[in-house]
Amino acid sequence: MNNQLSRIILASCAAMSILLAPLAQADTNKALEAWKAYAASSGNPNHQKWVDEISKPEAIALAKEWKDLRGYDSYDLMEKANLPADLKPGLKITKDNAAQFPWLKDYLPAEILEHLSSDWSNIKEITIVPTNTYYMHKGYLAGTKELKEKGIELQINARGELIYPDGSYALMSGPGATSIPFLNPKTGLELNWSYVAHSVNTDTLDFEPIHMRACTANGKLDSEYKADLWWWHYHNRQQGDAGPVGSIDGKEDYIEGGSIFFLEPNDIRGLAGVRQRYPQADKDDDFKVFIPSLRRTRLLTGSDAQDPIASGQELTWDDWRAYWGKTDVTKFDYEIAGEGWILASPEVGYIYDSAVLTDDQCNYKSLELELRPVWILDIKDKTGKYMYANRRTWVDKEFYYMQYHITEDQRGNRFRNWEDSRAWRPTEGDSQWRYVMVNNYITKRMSTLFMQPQWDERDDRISEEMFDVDQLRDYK
Amino acid sequence: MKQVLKLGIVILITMLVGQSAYAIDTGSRKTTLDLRLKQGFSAAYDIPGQTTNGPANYVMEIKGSYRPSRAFTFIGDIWLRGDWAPSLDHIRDPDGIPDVSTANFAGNLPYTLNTKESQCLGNATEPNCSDSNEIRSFNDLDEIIREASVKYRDKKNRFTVKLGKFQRGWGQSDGLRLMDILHAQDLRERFAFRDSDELRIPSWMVSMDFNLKKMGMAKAFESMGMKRPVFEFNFVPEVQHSKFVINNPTDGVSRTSGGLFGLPFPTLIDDRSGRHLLGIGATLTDVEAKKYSFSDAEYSARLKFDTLGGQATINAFYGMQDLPLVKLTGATARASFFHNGAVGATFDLAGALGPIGGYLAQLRAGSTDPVGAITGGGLHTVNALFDLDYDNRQQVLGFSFARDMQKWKFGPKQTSPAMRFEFSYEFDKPFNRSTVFSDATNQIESGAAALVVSPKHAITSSDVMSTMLGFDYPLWIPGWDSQEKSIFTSFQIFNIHTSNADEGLLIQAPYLAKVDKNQQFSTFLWSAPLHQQRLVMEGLYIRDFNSSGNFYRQRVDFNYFGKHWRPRLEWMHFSGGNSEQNAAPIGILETSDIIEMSLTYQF
Repeated sequence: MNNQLSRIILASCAAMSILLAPLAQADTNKALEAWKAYAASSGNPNHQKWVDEISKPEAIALAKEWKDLRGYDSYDLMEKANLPADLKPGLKITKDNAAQFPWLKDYLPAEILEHLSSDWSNIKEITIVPTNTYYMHKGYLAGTKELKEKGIELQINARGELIYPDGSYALMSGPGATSIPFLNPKTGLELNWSYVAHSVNTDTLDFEPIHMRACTANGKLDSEYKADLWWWHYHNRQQGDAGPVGSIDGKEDYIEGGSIFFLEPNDIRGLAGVRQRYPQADKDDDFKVFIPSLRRTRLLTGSDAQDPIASGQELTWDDWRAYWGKTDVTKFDYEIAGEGWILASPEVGYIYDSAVLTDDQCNYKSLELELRPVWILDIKDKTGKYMYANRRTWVDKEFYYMQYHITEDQRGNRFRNWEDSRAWRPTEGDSQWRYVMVNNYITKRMSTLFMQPQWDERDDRISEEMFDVDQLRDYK
Repeated sequence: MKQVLKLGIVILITMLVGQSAYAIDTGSRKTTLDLRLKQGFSAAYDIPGQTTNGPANYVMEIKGSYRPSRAFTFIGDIWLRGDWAPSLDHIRDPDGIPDVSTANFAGNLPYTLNTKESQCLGNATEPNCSDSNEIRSFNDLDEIIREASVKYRDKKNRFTVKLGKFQRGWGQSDGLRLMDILHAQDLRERFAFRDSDELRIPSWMVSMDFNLKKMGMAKAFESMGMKRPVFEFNFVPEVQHSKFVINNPTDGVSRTSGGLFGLPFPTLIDDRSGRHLLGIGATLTDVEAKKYSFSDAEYSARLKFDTLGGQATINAFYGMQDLPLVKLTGATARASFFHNGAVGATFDLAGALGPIGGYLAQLRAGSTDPVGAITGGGLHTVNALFDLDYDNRQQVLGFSFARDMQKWKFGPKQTSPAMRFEFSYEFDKPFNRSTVFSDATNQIESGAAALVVSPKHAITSSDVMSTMLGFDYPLWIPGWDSQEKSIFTSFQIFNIHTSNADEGLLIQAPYLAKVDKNQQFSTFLWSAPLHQQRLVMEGLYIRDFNSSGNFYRQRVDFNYFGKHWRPRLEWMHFSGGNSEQNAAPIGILETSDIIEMSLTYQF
């Protein structure tokens, strides 16, 4: 009897250990462990808060689900890579010691490296922080899984549009509207579409407010704007706390829409714009603005997306959210130029600011960067008429969003870069933005965007009012 | 004293709120607070024989909003405007009353504007003189409140209601108003040549928008290709009419001065003799619709929908005319040769104008004192009593359409223009006649003589059909590789067809310009941000083809000084026909050219 009891107890223990093993493994991941160690050593309370956030069980579980879906995470790729021994969390880089790390040029964008010693947009100190593991929100997880489980293979037609096998537009309905179409892109166009499909990685983007600032080459604050800004994903919405689920009524013709209401400076207060994107490659955006000095709505051409959103700023409509250019194979070639690693801002903006500006807003006291695995996407203009002859983008292999880009003008000069820190919520996997650097290397103007993302009551506060300029005019 | 008190209160509030705004810019997301202080000074350089101060307009404005929830938005906006020019210098307006010493009385006794009241009264050397109290300060409470509104949004987005004092713009046209007629205009500062939000006179009103799709009423419209229909209804119980000041030396309530942008005293010419109406002045009385009522209230509705790749509206307006008819009601005679002399006896103007020995007969016979001639020499001037009658209905139907012409891509960046189209049809628009049968002379009269006739003959009506076609285009200049931002360009062409124009109609009495069957205007606007978009050049050209009128305005904004300071240089040039008959509307301000420097402080 005793033997029998012993065998039952042993068998039970064995069974329990087998059952509990995955749970034990799911209690952490390598990114979390790296951050725990780093936070303990840095003593920075922001770092500990970040650890607390990524330690939450929902975050760990979501990270694992995405890793299973992709087949890897950042640490899997790092283990296979031959990385410099010095490139570790805690490394501080300044203009004085940068020369000690000859490998920097292979990982740090050339422009960022130059800013360590430049007299404009100067970065006093860069700190390397641990690599995170990023993923998208649960709706994208569900959509991407559904495509996979149902064997739905999204395609790119001759016009370069992303479609279902039946020819309908993938971003307009069903799982394709909220999914990553190509988890392992083989061509530039596939990579482009996965990047585009990332969109803003939330059903409702809500910046209240966004501050846009630009400095002269002499380091003087020159142009400032304050606005409220929103973005809506129109189809297959999944996040109930971010507003309506499913499709938005009345938006059957569009993929998504963005809107802005300017609050400062006073002379353009009340200027409001709504821009909505059609799925057709050859159909320009629907673009309407409310002009306070006329107190009237004006329809503007959607074909001009190369103008700054506001005078004196570097942000254009095509650059909004890093890349909102329309995919058009008649105008652009899309090529994977390579893959590798890049040092880029961590997406920790939900908890703290990884970029700290000087008091004059025209230089950086400090900048945190982490190592990211990327594909390199070149989008080359075929017409010779676009503002950028080439847009080189480092697209994150976990997040399917850019980590950095640099553009060239038609004469081959470096033009504008984009470096940002998303406000990413590990427990939900969704994200907004916290900070963006956009520098113009021709005029040497530094510009920044600082956003105050709002997460609460988005379902109540953000409505169709924000995406109908005739209603938005009376917003505030 | 009352004005000083009001001004003081506004300045105090402005300063207090301004200081608070600095302090509370931590910003509750639910509230906003903005302030604007603007002061301009200008030189008027086109008045014959003088260079003097033009308008020195000031604005103090505070705007705040409170949005406690998605459902409600409260907006308050108060402003105080005015012109320091009357305290700075005087203007001798060349468009005064006829000078007896000139051939055919074609010259004018200058009318001194802007001067202080004390300099006018009893000043024998300045008989035609008025201060400009009308423009020193627009400080009636009704004028100070620019917006006081609350907007309610239905939770399900089916409808919105906005209630209070505010303005709403309609239509696709800039400059000329086809359907943008929900509000009268304040023409006292720069006539119609300002930003349209500062021109419209806000009203106490209710505005409702109904999303027909959300209300389950869209199917009928959608079946006709009208997508996303929204129905708007406006009820405006507070009827306003346009505000302007006529530079009128006539005594009494009508002795007014609007400074450089006051409308000139009309040049009244007898068509038969070619002589100016010597000794005829005008006393003007406003006849207005009921301020608040259902019977005179304005009602308007608009159906907005998407169709044919663009956005269209169908509009209907049942309101009141903004501008007046001029109706003769009587006359008074004065002993003085000047119109602001002592009041004389009531005068039978109609009789005096009569053919046998009457005023016109004397004028046409070459008398140098036609009033004296018919009154035995005791009286020398006559003030005609005119009603400016605004109490007339305006009934308009309209249609507008705007579309991005995506197939028309051209230029260095392959951008396309946006097309705008607007059409309006006004039924039975009332006009003063330019040619009319006179009971007094028992014959057909034209020119100024047509104004001094019985209203039963003086007024007629006609349908008016107006059309606008415009294009907006972001211009990138070929070969300009370093161009930072496109130049916004906007071109419009208008045709205004008046059915009964051949009967002889005046564009706006008492000015004698006649309505053409088809009147054509065009406008061109360009805006170029230069020098890292801190130097903004904006030009506006308006061409009146029928009257050979030209208007050009050049603005230069120097946005070099952060977000609080906004210096601006503005030049306005007017040129028109060589006589009032064919100068209107632009040429009527022929001598009002100015260069203005203004500075705005804002936050």
